[in-house]
Amino acid sequence: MTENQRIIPILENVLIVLHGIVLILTIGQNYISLPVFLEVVGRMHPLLLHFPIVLLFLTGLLFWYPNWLGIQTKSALRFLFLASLVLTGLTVLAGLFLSAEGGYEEDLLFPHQWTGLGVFWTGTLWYFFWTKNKIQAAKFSSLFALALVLVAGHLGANITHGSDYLLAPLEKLEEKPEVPLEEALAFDHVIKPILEQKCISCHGPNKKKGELRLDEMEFFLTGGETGPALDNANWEKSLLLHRIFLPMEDEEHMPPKGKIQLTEQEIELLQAWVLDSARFDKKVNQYPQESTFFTLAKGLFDDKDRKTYDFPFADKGTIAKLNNEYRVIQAIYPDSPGLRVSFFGKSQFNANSLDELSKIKEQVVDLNLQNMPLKDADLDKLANFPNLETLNLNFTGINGSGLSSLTKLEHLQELSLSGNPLSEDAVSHLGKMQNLAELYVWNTQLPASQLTTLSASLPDTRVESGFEDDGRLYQLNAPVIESEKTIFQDKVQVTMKHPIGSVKVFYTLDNSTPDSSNHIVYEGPFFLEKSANLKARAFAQGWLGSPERQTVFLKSGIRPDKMNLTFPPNERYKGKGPETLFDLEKGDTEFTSGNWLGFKDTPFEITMEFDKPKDIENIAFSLFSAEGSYIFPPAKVEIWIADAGGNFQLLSSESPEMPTQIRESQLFLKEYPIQKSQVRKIKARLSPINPLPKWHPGAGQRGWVFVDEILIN
Amino acid sequence: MEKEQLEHGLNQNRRKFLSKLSLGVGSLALGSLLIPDLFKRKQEEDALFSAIPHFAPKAKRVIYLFQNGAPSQLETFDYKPLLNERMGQELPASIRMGQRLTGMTAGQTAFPLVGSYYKFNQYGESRAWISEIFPYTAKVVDDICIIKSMHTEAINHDPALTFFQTGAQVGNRPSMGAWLSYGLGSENNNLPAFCVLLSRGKGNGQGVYSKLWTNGFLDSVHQGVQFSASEDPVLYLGDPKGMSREDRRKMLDKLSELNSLNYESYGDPEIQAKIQQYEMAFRMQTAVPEVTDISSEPDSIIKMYGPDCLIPGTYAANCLLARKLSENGVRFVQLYHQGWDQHGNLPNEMRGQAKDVDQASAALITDLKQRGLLDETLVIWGGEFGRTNYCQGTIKVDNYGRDHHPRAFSIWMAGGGVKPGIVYGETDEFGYNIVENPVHIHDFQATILHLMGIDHEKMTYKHLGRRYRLTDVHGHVVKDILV
Repeated sequence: MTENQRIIPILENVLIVLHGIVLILTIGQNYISLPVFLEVVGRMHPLLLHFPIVLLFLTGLLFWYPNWLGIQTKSALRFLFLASLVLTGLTVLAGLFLSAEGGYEEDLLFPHQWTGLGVFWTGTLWYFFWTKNKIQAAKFSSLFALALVLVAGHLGANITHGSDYLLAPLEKLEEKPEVPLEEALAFDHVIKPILEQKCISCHGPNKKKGELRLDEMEFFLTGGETGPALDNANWEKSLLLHRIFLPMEDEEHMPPKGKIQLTEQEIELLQAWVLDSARFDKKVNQYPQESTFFTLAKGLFDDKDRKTYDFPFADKGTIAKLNNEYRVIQAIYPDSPGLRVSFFGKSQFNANSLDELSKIKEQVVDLNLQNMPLKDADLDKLANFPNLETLNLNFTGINGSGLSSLTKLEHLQELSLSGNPLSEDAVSHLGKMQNLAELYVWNTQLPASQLTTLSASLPDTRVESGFEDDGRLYQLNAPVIESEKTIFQDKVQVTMKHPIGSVKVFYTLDNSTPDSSNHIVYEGPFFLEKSANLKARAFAQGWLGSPERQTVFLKSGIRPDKMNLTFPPNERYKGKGPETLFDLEKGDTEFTSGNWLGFKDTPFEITMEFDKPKDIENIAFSLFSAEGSYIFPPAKVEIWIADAGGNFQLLSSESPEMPTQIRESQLFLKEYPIQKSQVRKIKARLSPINPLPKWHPGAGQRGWVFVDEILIN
Repeated sequence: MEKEQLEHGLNQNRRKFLSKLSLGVGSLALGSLLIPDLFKRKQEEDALFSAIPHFAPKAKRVIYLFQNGAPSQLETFDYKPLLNERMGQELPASIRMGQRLTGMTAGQTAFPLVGSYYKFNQYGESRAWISEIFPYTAKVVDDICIIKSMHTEAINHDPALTFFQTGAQVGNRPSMGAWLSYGLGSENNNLPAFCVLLSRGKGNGQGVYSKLWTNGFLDSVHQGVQFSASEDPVLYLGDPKGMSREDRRKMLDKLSELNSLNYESYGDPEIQAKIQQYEMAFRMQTAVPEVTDISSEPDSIIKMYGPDCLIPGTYAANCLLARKLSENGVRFVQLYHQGWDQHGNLPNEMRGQAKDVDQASAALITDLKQRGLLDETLVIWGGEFGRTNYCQGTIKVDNYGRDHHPRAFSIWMAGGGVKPGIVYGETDEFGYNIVENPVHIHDFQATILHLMGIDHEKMTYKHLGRRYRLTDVHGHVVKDILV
């Protein structure tokens, strides 16, 4: 209490002093010039003003409802009164200093200034009546003062933010009528909207910072304190550009630090406009098509160039219900009521699902039914979508007799009918769709004459008939031969495949090349019971026959009872030892797979022994070559046999032909006749090439031999 | 478990509750100030009218024909007769301007200029110059937009590829396709939004790695799904032997019941995501064979793409598959064709590489066009950087090599809102530096996003405390090439 008693008189005295100064300033406003340092105090006005607003309302609250806090507040209220009034006084004082600085529109400033003063004066009266217990007068002046706070605050905000600031978010919702690109003016429709957003709040009719206004043509050349905004002698030097391009840190950079900056694109537009002599009357499309200004400005209109529709938005819940995995409904772009419906998964498709869309039939503007099985009768359902603009019916299987239903669709612009076997009816129906902009009829089996008729009857439509077969014959690719194994014991199933449906596969089993005179027609998987060299080719109407595909099928025969490698295989390619050679598992081109034995520094030499002498017809080695990986066919193949006596005799010795360049890696078989009875032992030696030939990147080094299987029959 | 839960409950007392609450409310308030969207509804809940796309898209889908290894611009689209005139002369220092070199040519004492072994001709209404090894591309020249002024920051394959795909040279950022999947989702819920197809030419190749189609820090559903050339185009999709489709259905129904129970008690949205992913895989089991089946394609399609398209795993087959995936609503199909790294033996190798890709690339354009899909599908063809105008190794008229060159290279784009039949940008007479309209990788990425209706500055993802974009903090939309 004692402290309070001490501070109250101090505040009251301060209040009186403030009233005095304010009065002097208000009267002598136009006669007094202020020292510069007071401008700093003046600029604190926007900060200070928040205190009195809050405090005055708090005071009002406790004045009207003294028991609101449930405690005795009378003495606190007195302090509150004085604090808010002193702060109001300080704010008013700062405001007066600020207004002396100049640069504000008189029309806006005047009401703010006087309502502000009104707050101060009526507030003081209110306090006075309250201390004198004149409750009626106090109540009346309190209402008056508080109302003035609101008015003064709002008027002040108008000066700072622009008079439309408060309601701007609401106004945005009302679409302004937009001009199309053809009619747009460079200044009014491109430049001015940028200035309005980023500049005019400070350099406009309300607030003329630096005496500059950028809202009307004439002000650009009159300019502000530092000169005209535009320099019509040297456009590049125009202050407008200069300020924009100053670095952010520079005091004079515009818009000032902290305000919303111009975007890259806006800067480019402003620059392009100024450099092109800052024309106020020029239309956008009078700028050359390639000019930066035109391309950038056009972009702005493109974005606004969205189609507007008269129909309402569809209910979101309805759309969500209609959406599923195979029928996707999406807005054509954000904020557009137009919808695009796409169907996916032909196995899931049912034409009746089109009827389910009746709730959104108005909104569907784009319908994608490509690859979905449709009947011509189903096209009737499409006539129920009155606003359809784009319709994709590629590969739906219709013949076009139902296209007459689509003539009712007035807005249809783009129709895709590629891949449907269209009849002549279709041509006459399509001829009636004069509104079409684009029509796609590739692969519709319509003869050229019909296509010409169609183009002639639709003069405003781009009729796209697509790729034309120039009659050039292409070669088919070879069929694929599939089987579980190529080395088999009893029998093996063989399947052949080709990706083109209309292809016939011809094959032979006798090593001859299949052609029209000499073949078996493949009709389905079959079994081989003997070794065979299967060759197959694919044929089809309108194509050249394919190259041949060959696979060697081997029926395995005799397995030796003992076998022994003279030299072990290389550490890296040792498989499962000599067992690998008789495991009936064919290796593939992945030669590190463990199905292959590899030899480099020593030859591959194997001795095979039979417990009981056998009659042997031939021996075959399954080999691999990949010159790029230094793997060559063996340089020399030698075979010895031993009869019951056990003495080896050289049976054959051959030096296979060597490649002369790097070929694709390949699996191949080397077969040697033996034709001997009562054989006890066979020895074979396959020597790797050494050195590699001169043409090879590894010339001079040793080559490899790779073996994966030996077949004895 | 039970005990833990009990103790967990006991550990909550009023003081803890209040202190947590105050902290929580405070941080929520702060968070909502920093991230104004914090209390907005989640994007997934309102996908139909969500904020992305930011504006009307021109393209709905992308097919990116990546020519991995970097095809030489000087033998494809950037015709520089001066190089033939000055064959063997030294590259002027005023042109090179101290440009860094790779370790492969940094040791060379001379940098002899080398001109294209192939002839160039002008085609179409645009009169664009195209090398003789691209006869089919030449036929569709009026449908494509050739950009001759691409430039990048990386000088080696891996960082350059990563830069092209993710907007940063180091790994771990999401790939472009993942970003689009994140931003736009899939059009067809039965197929992944981002598919990857690989092929390899006979030329000197460089590896491609799965990090190029990574989802990075985005959710793993946005990762690229690689389709292989084998019988199972998508791995692990088939049912194991002995499991029928009905059994699978029953199994999934039971699993989803269990997962739903779990969801009810924990409310973790990841559980719902998991259920949906299982369901999608189930639907993919029928959708994928339907899409990859080429037996229903008309003969003329095979002739158009070339018979190679019948051999799975070739570039032509991948182009055809790309069209099939794209027309079925796959948002981003990424092809990589390896073998374009011609440090030597260029005249020989490039002819083969071009033969691999030329016909099918052009066919893809024609095919989309004749179906009315080209205007909504963006097709891109190009490598990760360019190649030097001087020779690497020994120079002969018919045998030379070119090293990596990031300062200028050519690509083309078609459809999806790109101006057809134009050539954009220009290099100097030496084909070394850009003299007009440079297009940086980030500009290229910003343009692709723009065509898809996305503002590249607005599509961000917050990770490790900062927001990331495909274009990092750079990129300008190349407005000049937009329709």
